[in-house]
Amino acid sequence: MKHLTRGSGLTAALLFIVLAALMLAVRGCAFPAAPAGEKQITISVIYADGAAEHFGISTRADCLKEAAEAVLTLEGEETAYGFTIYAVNGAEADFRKGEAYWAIYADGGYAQSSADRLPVLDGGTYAFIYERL
Amino acid sequence: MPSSMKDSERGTSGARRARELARLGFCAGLLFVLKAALAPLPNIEAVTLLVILYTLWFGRGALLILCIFVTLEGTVYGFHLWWIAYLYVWVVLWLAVTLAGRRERSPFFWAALGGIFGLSFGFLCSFPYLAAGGIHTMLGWWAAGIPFDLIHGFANFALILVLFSPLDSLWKRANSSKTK
Repeated sequence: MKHLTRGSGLTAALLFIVLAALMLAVRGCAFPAAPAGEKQITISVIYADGAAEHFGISTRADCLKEAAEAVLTLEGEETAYGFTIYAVNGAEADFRKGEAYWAIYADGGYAQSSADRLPVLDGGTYAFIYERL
Repeated sequence: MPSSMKDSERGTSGARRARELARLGFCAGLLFVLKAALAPLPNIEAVTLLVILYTLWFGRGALLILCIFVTLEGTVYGFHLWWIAYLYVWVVLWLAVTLAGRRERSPFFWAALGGIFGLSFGFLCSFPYLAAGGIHTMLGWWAAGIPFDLIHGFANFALILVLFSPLDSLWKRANSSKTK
């Protein structure tokens, strides 16, 4: 019985390690690291009234926040889920007030991570879009 | 059986029931307070450890503890999307412990189970996002939270490995001294 108990503990521990390794691999595939070197990207901002600004920039930044701050003023705070944006160029969209938020898009799709965790890829198009809740 | 005896028996079982309910309520309170106390540490919590112990100690009674805990969480922090996940995520752990607890297990096993639960927590909690935004939103939300799930899993493993045995022994000693 003692052997069985120890065996089941080891099996569970092995499963735990394998699961952790798999999750690391999934994370690596889902969020590839930004390549080093110069990258040409486009950053757009679409405000509450539909007005838009577009910036074509050359950057060596790893993440979108770092790249965007070369042309935009981002206000927000670090949270457990990354940098949460409350205002872009002074235009506020604070989700805590329950009305709107700044959505981030990468290559036309809804970005799945915050601006400080989103890798910048060469030729990428990124957008900060005011969206009502 | 004389009616007076029936009354006294009923009184004793009523008192026992009240004591049991008070004990479960206290355990739910402890769960809530410990979670709040450890909240500044991202994804390091004692809830998994306590839910495993409560399930082993109280069986179905642990479900009442979970009901109180989940209601308290919603009342204090708001009934948002995460709360929907709270409705089932702890029951999944209860179910896993109930099934695994049919046999004698080592603290190492419970640490590994708690670790696996911690790793799976984000995935389990991502189902409301499937309904809210589809499969891409769900998987994206889960993948973005993987670093937190890894912390959760390893913290659970370490905490349970260290605290499971002392707490379980304390409980068993307290109960054996009561029955003597």
